[in-house]
Order: sequence, then structure tokens, then C-alpha cells
Amino acid sequence: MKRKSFMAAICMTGMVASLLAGCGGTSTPEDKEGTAATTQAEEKKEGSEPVTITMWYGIGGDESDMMLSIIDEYNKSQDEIFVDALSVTDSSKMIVAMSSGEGPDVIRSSNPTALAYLKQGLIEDLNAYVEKDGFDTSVYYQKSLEANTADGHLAALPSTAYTIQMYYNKDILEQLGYTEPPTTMEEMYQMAVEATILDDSGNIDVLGYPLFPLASARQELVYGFGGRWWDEAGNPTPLRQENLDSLTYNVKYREQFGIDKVASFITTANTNRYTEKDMFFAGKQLFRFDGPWLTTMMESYDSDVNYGITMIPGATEADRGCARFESNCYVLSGTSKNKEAAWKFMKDYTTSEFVKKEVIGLANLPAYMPLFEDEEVLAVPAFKEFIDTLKAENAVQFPAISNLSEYVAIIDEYLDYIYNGSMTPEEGLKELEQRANSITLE
Amino acid sequence: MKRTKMTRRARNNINGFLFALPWIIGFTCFSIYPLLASLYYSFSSFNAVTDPKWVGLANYQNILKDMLVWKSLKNTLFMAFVSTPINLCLAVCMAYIVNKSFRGKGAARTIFFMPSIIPVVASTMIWIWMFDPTYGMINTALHWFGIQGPAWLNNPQFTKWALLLMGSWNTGTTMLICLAALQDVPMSYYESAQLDGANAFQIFFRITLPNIAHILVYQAILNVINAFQYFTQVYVIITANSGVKNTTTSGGPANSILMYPLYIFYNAFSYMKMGKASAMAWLLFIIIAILTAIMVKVTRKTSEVAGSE
Repeated sequence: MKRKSFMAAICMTGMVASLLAGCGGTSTPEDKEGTAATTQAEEKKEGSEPVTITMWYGIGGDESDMMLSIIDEYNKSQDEIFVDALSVTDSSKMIVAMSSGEGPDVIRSSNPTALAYLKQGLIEDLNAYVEKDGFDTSVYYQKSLEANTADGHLAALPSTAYTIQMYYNKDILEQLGYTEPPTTMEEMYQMAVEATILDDSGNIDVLGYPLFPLASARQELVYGFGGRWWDEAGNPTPLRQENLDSLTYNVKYREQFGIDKVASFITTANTNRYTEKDMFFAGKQLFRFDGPWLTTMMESYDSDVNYGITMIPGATEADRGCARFESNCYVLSGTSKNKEAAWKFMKDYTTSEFVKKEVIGLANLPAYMPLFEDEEVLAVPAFKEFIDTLKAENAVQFPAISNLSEYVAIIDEYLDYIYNGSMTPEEGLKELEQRANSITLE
Repeated sequence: MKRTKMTRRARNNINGFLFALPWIIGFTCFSIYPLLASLYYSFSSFNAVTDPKWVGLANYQNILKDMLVWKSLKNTLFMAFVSTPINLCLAVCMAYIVNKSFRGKGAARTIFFMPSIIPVVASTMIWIWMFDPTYGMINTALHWFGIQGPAWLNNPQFTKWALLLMGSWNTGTTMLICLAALQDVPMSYYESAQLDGANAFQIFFRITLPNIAHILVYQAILNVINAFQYFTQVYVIITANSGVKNTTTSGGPANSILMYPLYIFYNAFSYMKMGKASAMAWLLFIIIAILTAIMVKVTRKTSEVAGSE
């Protein structure tokens, strides 16, 4: 009997040990597949003991390999800090890791995420670090700093930025007899209607009006009319005349060519976005509001579309080129165990040759001002036009409110009602305003 | 002698307890503790990282006022109570067919069951392609009959029906259980019925159905519970259709496929409102518990009726 108990105790101990083995322990950089550590561990300089910091970035695929190679170069360039970079595209994993105190030291994120994290107290307020080091933040493009600041508190250091401008199919415009792209919203609408082609079944073969991508229809197509979804204080203001004007044109186009037909075109366009079947790459879109990366993508898919890039038209001259401005950035996690080293990496990296490689590799615009005049950066297709737009200082920023994504989700819901004809623009915006006021924007 | 027996029993109990202890520890750490923690969080304002602050019933009040909670619940109830009978009918029909003797029966069973072993993400991606209004197989097939197919995943009137169609493809497991139930019905019942001159319709409704009713009710409970956890398919569709990865908080066109679990996920990980998400999860738990209790009662009654017959 004693033997039985002894065996039971041994078995139990073994099982408990194996059960708990999976719960604890921290992984070393060498454990992680796909980290820069694997290749670099052997190459560390003898005698030096760099501080290891972890950095997570939400980029996958080939672009992740590119990020790893840049970090690899950064690690080789100095022996104070060793950055263990890991691609984490699942945002929920980030939250879970931070909640268990196992989050990274540095996170590469978008500026709305950085601001939301700051509001929630998940990341460090960088003001103290900037003041302590006397770090000159004027080296960054002012808008990118603003994009990462809430109530005077700096949430992140910007690395790259993007805005949206108008790509147009030159061949289609020429066939219609136009030599120049439109500069006003009315001109654009006129050209769009003329350019729209239906097939034998009445399906849209060429979409004239830039209703796809949907995010651009919600933003740039509204900003171009002078519209905004919020005021300067960040309060929701959907019921504006300019927003109504934009939606009136939008709905008018849909009704003229068939609400279902337009919806079908957009669905297919969404599914095939940024693939070789992308509607703009295939010459099936006259106007496309998109970012600087579109040219690189067209090149990679051998698209032979004869395109031009210009500022987004405006209802007035002041509205021309109005587009969203967003920034990618590096934040210092509140749970970081190596805050000083992480801060040093952030400021060194975002003001160096390495960030230039990130800018070119991801086809995103620079946030570090000296790169605005850099020959290699300006040589990237479309960058000159986009950087000129940034210099025009006409970009629209998201408000620094923590529940922005909730508000955007409600806007999208009502735009769907308006687009599918179940509400008029007036009805939709009125109800949207009531709903928006019911959520507390902080 | 008596004392020795008691000791042996006690020792046996201790041994049994020791053998069960790893499971008990695991269950306590990974089930009981999170369950109780989520109950506490549901009464607090909590973003998963900073310390929770007690807010009493505020999260539950917030849920009652949030229109998207009700919309997502309505969408989920639709999936639970419309898809369940459709899927059960399909499963019974398929099981009935493959229970007959005919050439190619094995192949038919394999074909009917095969969709069940395809990973949900992969099958959903296939369906997204099939539902494409321009290049998709479904609208192409409808076009042959002169029917103009809708934008299945973009038109709020059709999105949920598209999900039902997707779900009906995946009834292999239910079919298998129904098949086992059908094979359990004694052949003598059928022989007697045939001798009495019953037709196929009467045999199905008077003999087959009552004898497999308890299995059908059990399957209905499982289907309803699964429907309340409907997440992966809509998450994949919304992510694919939004054109952005991981950052979307969309519920599909006009939130028509915003399911309750998806909205819990958005609240927890996108809006970082773990307290509200926990409260929503507890509300879901209560709803499922009530529905299960009702259905278990129905099952008992059905079994009793089947047993008495």
C-alpha cells in the first residue's frame, strides 16, 4: 500500500511539474523562431555585453523579413544594445503579453494605437525622456509629432508616415478627351460619370467615381468637400453640410449606376485589393485614392496601367489635397524592463540611416525631416509627389481620443445604411450624430 | 480488522485524489480562477494591464444601453435558431440517404463528411471566393439561369443567408451522429410497419423520427451553443473584406454579421474594455445556461416519450 502511495505521489509530482512547465519561464531570444537573435547571437563582439531589448512589430510576410534585416544591421552597427525583434501581427497578443508583464520593451505601431495605449496608461509618456536628454524633436516632421501627441504628452517617436493622394488612369481620361486630371469635386464627378462603363449584364466594368477603397470614401472623399467627422476638440460632428454634400454625390453615383452593381464592384475590388487582379492595376478604375506604396505594388505585379498622381480635388482650392495623415511609430512599453536602453534605441533608430531603409523598404513616407531631401528617398516612385503634398500642410489628423475606433465603427455602420439606400444621407447623419453622442469620447 | 479496512479505504481515497490532483490543479488554475476573475472584472473598469477599478454595475448598465450589444445578440440568435433546424434537416436527410444500400454509398459518406475536416479558416476563404459577385461560382451559376446574384457579403440583406449557406456545407459531423442513431433503430420496427402496409412517409414520421428524436434534440443543443460561439467565420470574412488586417472593428455591412462573441472580442482587445467584455461574456453564459436548461428538459421529455413508445 505504501508503495502504491509512493508511486501515486511520484506520478502526481511528475504530472504537476509537466503541467506547470508550459506556464512559466521566459523565452530567451535564441528560443524564438524568426527573431533577429538567431543569426546575430553568434556574431556578438567578444567581451561586450549589450543590453537586450525586445521589439515587436505588426508587419508580416516579406516586409517582416525586411524589418528583421534592418534590425540585424542595427545590432551589428553598435555593441550597446541588442534588439530582439519579433513580428507580432495579432494585436490581442500584444495586450495579453503586456497584461502578464511579458510584453516587449518597444512596440512599432500606428499613431492611433499609440495614442489609445497612452490614454489607457499602457505605455510611457515620452515627455520626461525628451526633457531629460534634451532631445531635439524638431528633427521630425511636425505633423508626425502632433499625430503622436495627446494633451501635450508624447506617446511615441515617429518613424514613417503616410498620406493619401489621387492616382488616375491617364488612358481613360485621354479617351474621354481630357488632358488634365480634375481639380474640383464637380469636375471629378463629371469625368467619373463619363468614364463609367457597364458590361452587357449591366455590371460595372470600369468604376469612375473613387468609391473604393471604402476607407478613402469615408475620409478623403469627405475631406475634399471640406467635411470632417469631428471638430478640433475631438467632438463628433457628423451632421455637417460638407459631409452631406459628399454623401449626396456618392449616393447620386450609386443610384445612377445601380446600388447593387456598385456594391458588387466594390466587393470584388476589396477581395482583390493589392493583388495582381487589383481593379486599378487592371485598368478598371479611373480614380483611386491610395497611399505612396501603390506604385511599388504596381511595379511588383507588372501592371502596365498608364497612371498619374495628383492632389485630391477639392470643393474649394483650400480643400485640395486634403487627406488623412497617419504615422507609424515606436512606443516605449510601460512594462519594459530596460526603459533606458529602449529609449536610446528608439531615438537612435528613428533618426538614422536605418529608418531610411524602413521608409524605402515599406514604401512609406519619412517622418525624419532630413529624409525629405534625401536623393534615395526621392528616387522612390511617387515619393516626390507625396512629400510635396506633406509640405503643403493640408493633412487631416485623427483626433486624439481613446475610443476613436468605436466612433469609426459607428460611422461605417451608418455609411453602409446610406450606401445601400436604406437611409438618405440626411437621415443617416442625423441618427449617426445621436449615436455618436451616446458613446463617451475620451 | 474494521479499523484496517477503513484505513485502506482512506488510503485508496488519498491515492485517487493524488492521481486526480494534476487535473484538479489545472482545472482550478485555468478554468475556475479565470471564471471567478472574469466575474470580478465584469464589475470593474479594466484594460488588462493597469489595476482594475471597481465600478459596480456600470458595465452591465452600459451593455443595456449599447445598441451594438443588442444588434450582435439579434444576429447571433438568428444564426442559432435559423441555422440549427436547417442544418439538422440537412444532416438527417444526408444520413437517411447514406443509410440506404446503394452502389457508391461509401463514396457518398466520404463526400458528405469531407467538408467537416477542412479547417474553418480555409473553408471560409474558399466561400469568400465563391461568394464574389463578379468572379464567384455562385453568381456565375445563378447567371446561367438568368438570375442576377447579389453581392452576398456586401449587402446586409444577404450576409446572414450567406453564412447559413456556408454553415450548411459543414454538417458532416451531425450527419455521422444521425447515421449512428438511424442504425440503432431496430429493423423489426420497419418490418412490422411494412407488414402493416405503412408507406415511406409514415415509416419516417412514425418510426424513424421518434426513435432518433433524443439524438436530434441533443444535436440541436450543441448547434445552438456552437452558434452562440460563432466567431472565426465572421472574423475571417470581415478581415478579408475590410482590406486591413487586425485593426478592423467592423461588424460587416451595416453590422449585419456582427456576432456577439466578435463584439466581446472587439471590446476586450480593440477597445481595451475588459470589464465590459467580461460582463458581456457573463450575460452570454446566463443566456446559454437558460437555453440549455430548457433544451435538456425537452430532451428528457422526448426520451421519455420515445421510451414509452
